[in-house]
Amino acid sequence: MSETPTAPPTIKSLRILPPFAIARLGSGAPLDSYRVEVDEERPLDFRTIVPDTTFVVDERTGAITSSFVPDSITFREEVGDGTFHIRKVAPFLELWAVAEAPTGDELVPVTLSLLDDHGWTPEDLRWTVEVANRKVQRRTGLDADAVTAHVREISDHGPHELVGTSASFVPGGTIPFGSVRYLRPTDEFPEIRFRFTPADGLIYGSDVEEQDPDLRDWEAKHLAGRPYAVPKDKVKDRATDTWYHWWIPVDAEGSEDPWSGRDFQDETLPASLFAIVPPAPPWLHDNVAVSRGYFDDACDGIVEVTLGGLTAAARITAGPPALVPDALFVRSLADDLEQVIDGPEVDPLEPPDVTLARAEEIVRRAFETVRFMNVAVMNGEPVQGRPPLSLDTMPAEEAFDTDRLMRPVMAEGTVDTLSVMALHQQVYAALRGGAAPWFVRLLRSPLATGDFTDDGRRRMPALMCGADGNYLALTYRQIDTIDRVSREAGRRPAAGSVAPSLTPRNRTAQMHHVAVGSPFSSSPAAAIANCCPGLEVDFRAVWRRVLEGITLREYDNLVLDVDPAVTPIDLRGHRLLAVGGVSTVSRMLSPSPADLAAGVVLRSNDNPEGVVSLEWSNAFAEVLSTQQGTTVQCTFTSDAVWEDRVWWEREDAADPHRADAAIQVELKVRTFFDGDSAFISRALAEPGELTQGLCSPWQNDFRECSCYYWASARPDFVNVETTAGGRSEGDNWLQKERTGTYVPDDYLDDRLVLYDDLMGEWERWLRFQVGGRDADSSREDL
Amino acid sequence: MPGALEASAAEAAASSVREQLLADLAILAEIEHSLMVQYLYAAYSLDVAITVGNFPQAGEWQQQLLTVAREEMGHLMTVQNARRLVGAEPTFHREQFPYDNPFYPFPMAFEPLTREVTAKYVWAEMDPRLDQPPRPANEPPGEADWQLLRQQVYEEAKASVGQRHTPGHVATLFEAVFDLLADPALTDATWFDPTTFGKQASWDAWGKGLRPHPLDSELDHPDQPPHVIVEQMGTRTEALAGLRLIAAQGEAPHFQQPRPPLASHFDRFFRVYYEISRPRVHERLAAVMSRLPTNPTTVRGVADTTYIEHPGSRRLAALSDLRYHLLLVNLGHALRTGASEDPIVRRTNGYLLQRSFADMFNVKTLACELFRAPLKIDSTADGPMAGPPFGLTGSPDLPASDRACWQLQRKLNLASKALCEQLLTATGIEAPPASALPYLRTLRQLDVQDDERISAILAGLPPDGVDE
Repeated sequence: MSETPTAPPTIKSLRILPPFAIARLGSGAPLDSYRVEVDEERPLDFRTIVPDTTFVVDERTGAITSSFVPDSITFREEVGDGTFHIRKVAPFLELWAVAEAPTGDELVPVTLSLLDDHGWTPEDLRWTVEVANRKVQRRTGLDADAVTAHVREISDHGPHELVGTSASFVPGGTIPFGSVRYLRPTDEFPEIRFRFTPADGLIYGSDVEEQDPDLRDWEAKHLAGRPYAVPKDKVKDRATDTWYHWWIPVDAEGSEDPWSGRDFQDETLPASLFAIVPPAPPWLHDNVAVSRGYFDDACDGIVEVTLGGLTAAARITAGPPALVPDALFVRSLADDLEQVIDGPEVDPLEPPDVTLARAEEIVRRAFETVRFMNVAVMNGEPVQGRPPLSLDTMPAEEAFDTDRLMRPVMAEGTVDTLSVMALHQQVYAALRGGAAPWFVRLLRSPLATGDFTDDGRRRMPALMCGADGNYLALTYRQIDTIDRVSREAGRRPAAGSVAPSLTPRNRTAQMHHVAVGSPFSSSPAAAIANCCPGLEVDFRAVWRRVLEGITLREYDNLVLDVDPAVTPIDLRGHRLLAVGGVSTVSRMLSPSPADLAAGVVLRSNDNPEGVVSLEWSNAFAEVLSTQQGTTVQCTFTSDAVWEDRVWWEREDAADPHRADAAIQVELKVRTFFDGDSAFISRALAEPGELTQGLCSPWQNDFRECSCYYWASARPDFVNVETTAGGRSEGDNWLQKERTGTYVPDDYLDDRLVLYDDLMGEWERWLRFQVGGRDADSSREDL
Repeated sequence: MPGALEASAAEAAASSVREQLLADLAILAEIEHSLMVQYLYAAYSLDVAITVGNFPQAGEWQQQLLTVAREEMGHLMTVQNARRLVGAEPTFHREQFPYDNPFYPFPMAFEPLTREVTAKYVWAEMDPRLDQPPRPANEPPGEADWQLLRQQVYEEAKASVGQRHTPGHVATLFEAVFDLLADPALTDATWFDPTTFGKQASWDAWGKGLRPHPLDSELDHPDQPPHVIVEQMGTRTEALAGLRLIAAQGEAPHFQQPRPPLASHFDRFFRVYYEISRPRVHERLAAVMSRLPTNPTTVRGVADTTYIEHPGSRRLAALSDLRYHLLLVNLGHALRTGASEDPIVRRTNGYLLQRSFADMFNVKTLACELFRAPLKIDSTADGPMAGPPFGLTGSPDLPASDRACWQLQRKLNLASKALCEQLLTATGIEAPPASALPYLRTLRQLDVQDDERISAILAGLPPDGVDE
């Protein structure tokens, strides 16, 4: 008796997982897969790097021929003659389907059999990829300077090069961004997979030859090409007949001034994102910043697939390697994405074990971050007799930004890396013991990033910088996670991390999904985001068009552009003061000798109202959580205020003297993700826009931003040991020779890796850290 | 030489006054210390009320008690500064002086929070002359009701301390100290060493993450988090001001007029007392708290204590006592290194500060674990629970030399590691509750790290006799 064939489940939609994959540049072969785990017996150790299933891809056929689990992970290889190849991270993307099932929709991998069940073949899939590098465009403001690459509607299994071209390039000039490949599914490996293999991490220049012989020689040796055709009107004829390329606008006194030219210059933050003709950095040299006109081969973009009328998309980006693979930053890209997905507050129905596990993970990442910071130096204390203002630290930045004398954050002499790390570890221990963490009140409020009172500056996370250029705060969601645990004293401790289940509606799980074959470093959890600007992506950029009809600047509340079809009022130059009643600005506070607890508004000539713009990710959290897709009342300055920051608070609306200062406009909040997926809507960021605020070339991010921004992603203090005095000693990560004595950061000290070293030989100088120490110079075997 | 005899008598009298001042400051330090740990015990006991007793409002009570305990830490440091100012070393004893001296408000007892226990705390922290109702309660009593309430508080406090004792007010001691300090005829100006100012505990170092004392900006309220006062002092005037400040925040608000902007400890306790006194609340609370011990101990057969019979819980309690001892050693050692003029000694001060804060975490974590651990071998899940003994298993006095201090640190640290090992490898009734294991594994590793660090510090110290 033959059985009636069962109808295959209906495919309702498709997903590409992960929806955000991070590739990492390198000239070596793709890195083998690994995951990271916490050793429960030795919970304070660095995370264990566990080799994982790695695919062998037949270059000729595009099929996976076998898989294996490597014995160890080699991140960097010496290929002789002092040359190193860092192994690039080439992430896989998996195609999944939302299938109807009797118990509700299920998320299932798309396989040969599933295709067959629906009468499809692998060739019915169409993949389209678009990536771009808009770093120079962001700097110059010229659309022609965007470098873009397309691969359209491929269904074969060969490699497709992502060839970057630009209207500004010389004829035939290109920048290779790597390649993509639709892997051939086989009976043995029947899943549908796609792969992005990033470029080698090369630097490209312009068709104008440098006049300086040293620089000319350097370029001859290190530039991979000269595709950029210098616009004739940009070749300046000054004494040296050199080319000024793009520049930081300065006034006659040498101060940065966006109006120093005829038109408003939409400055970047930080301003010096580009490689300049020596001497660098510009702020130590009268703000003279003559660009060398370099491009890199980093990019970001979108992968789309269609099948039988269904579509799915994912974002990809190519950035620097994850140099500390066994530690994670305290606020990662995943934290910011989770806040968008799940809101700024923890679901009251979330099981306490899950909340506690997440709280533990946050605290764990806090001590993983601290251990790579020379805390005493970052605290703003003198080092080897040098005045602390000469060192690049957050308290020094604060002093420069606020025009006031520098003070250490913590009491001088009381903080030290190993001590502070141990205290963080003790908090972690207490959490694991189920003790309510009283430290929630020690966390910095996202509204108080400009609170420079002693109390404010000592809040956690301390000594690091956030996307608004002020002291870093966690996401509201992270804070609420810890707060919730603190409110639930006496509950049972969690038994380790709780992995979210992969379901159609669980976008958090989809975001965290690491495709089989991909290293963990391809995950948003391994990327920093809320920074100024960032490493893998500049996540500030994703908020620029979150309100339909206007484009905001990524780092403050200035409206740069409007869509007249949506917004009849020309809001260009206006400042967005509040969204749905939630303020986008806060006050800088300074300690008052009369009252240490309260503080006074900190005003300066540059910032007479003492205003800080709050970082978008937290500022928009509440609105995103409740009002996506709906209109919301937005408060703007009534006039264009291009330069100054403007103070506003909700009470001003009722103040007859202030009421005219602001206007109200209804704008629609865009949906952040497409449909039910975790794909960041294309309307928020075109290919190239998520990396456009990063350094060009990206190596500058490791040099300009010194030591303190994201210590577990860009280490500061390595090979740390206890000295006889009980204090921590170690090397500056960027010091060339490891001596065990920390070399204070100095842009001119040739004991440290300098700009040209880094741009020319980054694979040699960016040394991987495993277990807090330099991994072996030739093989980072684990 | 008739004058010589008079001078000698005057010297003897001055010496006696000085001894009295030192003794009073020592008692004050002991009281601040003992109140702090008793309040901590009571605060942590409320975990049971929250989780088992279905008392959601107990979270608020717990916060009030913890706030008071944290502020008491600042008071203790300020008193230590006063001692340093007049030439005495800090002390971390609790009951070195006999309890029948007139200043102790009540005999030390570690008790779960009940209405009667709260009444005892209210009475201890009350202005003896308070004749108007306190301000913080949601429904403040009228003046006539207040007199009745005050009598009720006294009677319940009296019931709590037992027939042999009479509940007292901490303010009595403050008044005695102020009488001495404020009178130049009694206390010689030369007793106050202004050079100790920079050697004293500072808010900068000890007020981490807590709010400093507001000078004039805000009227405080019991909902507010703690304001930790750590006052340094170099003169008689500053000593009086500093001690008045903590007196006003805590036990004797009448010392600051008009009424202080800070929510006093009395305000906070009274608020809790008022809440607990609501109909049916205190009976239910007492029933839940009856599962928790009074004066738990690891030593069998001591009067007025509760022996922790369960071997796993007892060993956990021993670890708790050890960490408490380490906390006191760390506090003393941190204050000593902070006051040292020897750069070799002083360089470890930051580490000792962090160690002190770390052991505050440990004491808290172990207290929470113990309130979830069984008291008896056959304790059922809803049976009697253990608790943290807060026992002093060794003297809090430090050895003379810095090296000896570090050797003591190392010894205690290794003892902690060994206890962790024992607990982690124990099975059956010898084992601690499974919920404690992740913490114990982490603590063990912290102890290993600390041992490495302390060994390095010891290696860098000159041998005893050289650094003395």
